[in-house]
Amino acid sequence: MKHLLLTLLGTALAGIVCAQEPTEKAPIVLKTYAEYGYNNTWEHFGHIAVGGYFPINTYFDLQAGIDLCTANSYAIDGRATVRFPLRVGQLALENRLLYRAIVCSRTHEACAALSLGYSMDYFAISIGAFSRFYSVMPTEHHIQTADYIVEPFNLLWNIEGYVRRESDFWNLGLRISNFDDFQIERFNEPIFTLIGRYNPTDKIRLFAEVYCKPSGMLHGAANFYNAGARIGLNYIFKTRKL
Amino acid sequence: MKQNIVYIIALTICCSCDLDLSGFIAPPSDTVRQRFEQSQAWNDAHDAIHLSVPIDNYTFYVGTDIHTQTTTDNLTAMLTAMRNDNNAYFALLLGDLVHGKGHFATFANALQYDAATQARNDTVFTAVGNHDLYFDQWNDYRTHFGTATYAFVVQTPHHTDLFVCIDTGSGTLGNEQQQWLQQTLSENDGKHRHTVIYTHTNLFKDDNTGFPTSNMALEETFALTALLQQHHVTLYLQGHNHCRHDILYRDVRYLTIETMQDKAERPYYMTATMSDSDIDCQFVSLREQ
Repeated sequence: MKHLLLTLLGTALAGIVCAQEPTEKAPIVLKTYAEYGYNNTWEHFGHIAVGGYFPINTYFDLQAGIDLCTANSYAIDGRATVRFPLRVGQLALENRLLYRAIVCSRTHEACAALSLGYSMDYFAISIGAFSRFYSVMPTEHHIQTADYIVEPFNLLWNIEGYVRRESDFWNLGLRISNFDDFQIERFNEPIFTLIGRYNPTDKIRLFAEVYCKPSGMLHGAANFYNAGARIGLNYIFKTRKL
Repeated sequence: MKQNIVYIIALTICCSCDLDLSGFIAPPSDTVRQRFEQSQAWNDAHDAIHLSVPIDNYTFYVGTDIHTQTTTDNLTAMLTAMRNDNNAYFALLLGDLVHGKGHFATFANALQYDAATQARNDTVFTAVGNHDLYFDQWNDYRTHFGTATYAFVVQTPHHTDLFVCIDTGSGTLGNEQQQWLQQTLSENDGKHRHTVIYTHTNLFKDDNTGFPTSNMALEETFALTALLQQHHVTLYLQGHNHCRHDILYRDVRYLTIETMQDKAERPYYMTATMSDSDIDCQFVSLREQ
């Protein structure tokens, strides 16, 4: 009976996916932004980030980005996403790899994440799991004891809402998540981001974000930890025929 | 996963009367910066803490997450054992001293020396935990204990050891306290046999125990571990998780100690005995006493 139900569900899902009109053209997008932030550890810091979105076909795309931080921290992010267009919105299965070199703390950090998301106009949500590995960067001092820690399982989650459709030339939104472009925090460390977007032309999408990452929320003893703002643009570099 | 979701819902419903819900969106007491300033003002108004003990290989006791409500059986048992131990000279309590509102008087009462059952009036040092901040109880903590960020030296016949207490009740040190810690460790570099730091919130999340309580932000975790390695800290004691973890990372031993609250199924405290090369830590079950 279980197998029959699973088969029926799979057939229904495949039917929904195949019923969609395939997208004939998909843009290659270049994203870049500058950020200013303050946290209790680094105090004042800035970021410069560059990334790209490259669709392979209607259902599969790749993303990659690099981030440089004045606090002497650097990050590389890569994602491979499979998308399933639905009658309303789309499902996305994303595989993500993030590496950070937090040189100021002589720490390497690597995360591997898998998440499932659903997005539509006005709303998006995703949930997944990730593992983290961090270790100390080699120095002249020989470390006697173990120099790495593994966080084997953690939750990745995101929820965002917008006041207008994605296709509108401007939009405002709120995102609550434990990750952003170049960090994946523990499940219980949310990041709140206010998002504004404006499309002055077909090829340029300007955006501005203000974010806050408090400490101790799930302690029941919230306190300020980190806040900042970023401005940037997405440039529709090339329309690619699929 | 299902179990964890049920746990979250049950925790929220059943503990809401002891949980200061405002703390999920705003500081339930003074902020960590304000608490640090008040602690430093208290430290400046009082003499520096300096303990002298007659033996090099002394013992100190460590307990955490007492969550005092109406009873203090486990805390009394631990303090009595400590005050009757001829090699022990003080105890550290790592926060979550009380569970909810109005329990500080009960907790403070349990620390009082009882001449009928205890041989000596040994000192108890406290750290502040997140529960101790609920319902603006930081003021109660200050009334009884004065400071949550401080350091003291233990003098033995041939050595000195440095003990540093930091306030992580809000899941962050705050910038000023971080600088104070950096300065304290720098000023004492190379001067002491061992350096022990104790606090409430645990740093690492290497398994799913203690879900879903917070740790500290990753930037702060990485910076703190680098700082402790740089200054050759021997032992970093923490609670909050209610489970035992013993991690060696970057030449520092990070010990998370189980809860010793009266309701716990397996409450423990820890004894730590100093030697020239190491600190020998033993866990003592309160259920077997």
